[in-house]
Amino acid sequence: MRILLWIALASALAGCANVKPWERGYLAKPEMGFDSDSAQARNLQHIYSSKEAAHGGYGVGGGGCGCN
Amino acid sequence: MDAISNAKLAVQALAGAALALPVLMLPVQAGQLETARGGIKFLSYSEKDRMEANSPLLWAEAPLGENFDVAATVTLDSVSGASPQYVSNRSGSPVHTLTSASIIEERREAGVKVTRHFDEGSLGLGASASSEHDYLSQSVNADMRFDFNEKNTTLAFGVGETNDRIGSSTQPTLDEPRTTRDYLVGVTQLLTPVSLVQSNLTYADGNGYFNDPYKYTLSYFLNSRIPVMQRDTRPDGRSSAAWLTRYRHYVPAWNTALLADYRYYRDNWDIRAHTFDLGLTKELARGLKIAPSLRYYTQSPARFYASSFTNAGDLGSSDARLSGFGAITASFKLIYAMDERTSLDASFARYRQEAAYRLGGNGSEGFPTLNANFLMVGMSRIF
Repeated sequence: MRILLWIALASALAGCANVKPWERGYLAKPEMGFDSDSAQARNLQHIYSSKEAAHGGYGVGGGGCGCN
Repeated sequence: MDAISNAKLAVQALAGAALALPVLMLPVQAGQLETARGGIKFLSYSEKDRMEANSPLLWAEAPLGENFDVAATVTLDSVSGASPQYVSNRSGSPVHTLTSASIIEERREAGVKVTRHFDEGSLGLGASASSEHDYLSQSVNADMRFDFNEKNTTLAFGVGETNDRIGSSTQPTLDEPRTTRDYLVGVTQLLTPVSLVQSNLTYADGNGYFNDPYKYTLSYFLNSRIPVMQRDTRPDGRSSAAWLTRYRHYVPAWNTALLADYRYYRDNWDIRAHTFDLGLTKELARGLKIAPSLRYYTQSPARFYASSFTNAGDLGSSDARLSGFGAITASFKLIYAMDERTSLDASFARYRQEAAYRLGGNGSEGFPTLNANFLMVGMSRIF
């Protein structure tokens, strides 16, 4: 059910906006990226996944550690 | 800036992390790289009265031929100090006891990823491996990205497999496997000229050895001087799902980018967790930015978590990380672009775990409050 809702949301988003290429100057700024500092995000996720039970959401594979 | 440059940069920002793989969380680009880039990041993590970890990370990426990129990362973690070993209620209430100060333990990790770019998407293949004296991990993954709707929308799919081998310095004969398969489906959507959103759903299915071979619980009861000893014993499978949604909004009048992230997590150990991130990045002057942020995390306990056990059972763990608690991180970051090619950054964060921080306030009894500091410094350069 959750997956169906998610797909419905994705479909709705796909049809809701059309930002033209020449309107994307602000979106192109590095701080608007989702992982503008990926090395730091990677370090932090590694620490959090060794101190908390939750993990995932950011990608797939890797990160195996005896600290978990 | 002309329209073509705007479009190209926007696509890069759009897909900056459509698939930010933990195995290789480098600045993934939508289009092929034009030049090589690289950097170093140093993390110092320090817990009050407990462990310390120092982790230098090196990363580099470069274009390869007309349609390929290659990226690589190397990390070395050095951990020292004390960590929780067992829980005892001998004093009348559960107390977490630490190991004596340990020698330095090291973990090495390396990863590589090759990406093939197409007009309307990309295909990436990655592999990574890490080793510790009592833990080996190998991982492979693949991801695909499809841009459409005039590159307003990007769909991402990923699959990965991680194979681990778990040992123990206190049980030399221990050599147990664990295999985890991960799946990801995600969408990144431009909403307006100043806002975009990304939503990823990941599912992980793990089978094998999940126990912590170093942890156990001693439970004393009335009229008994001999405690019940419960070794850390967990199910031999763990399935989890995480739903992460991230929003970015730019306020031109303030030269500020706002971020809001939320992740919902659940697994078949009955753990439910919520993670909230709020932050901003403000450009103060040419080349100088500040980025304060707040993170809140809360989780419910695993169904087999307890701080004492009447009888040693098939399942049972007093690992505080499986209990009910909450955590808050407050951080501040400075970013300085020395020139068009070189950037420096420094961050400081305070992290605190506490039972009372759990959403609703009913954290697990005897939870050991944790205070830690993060210090990170980095440099990146375009070649």
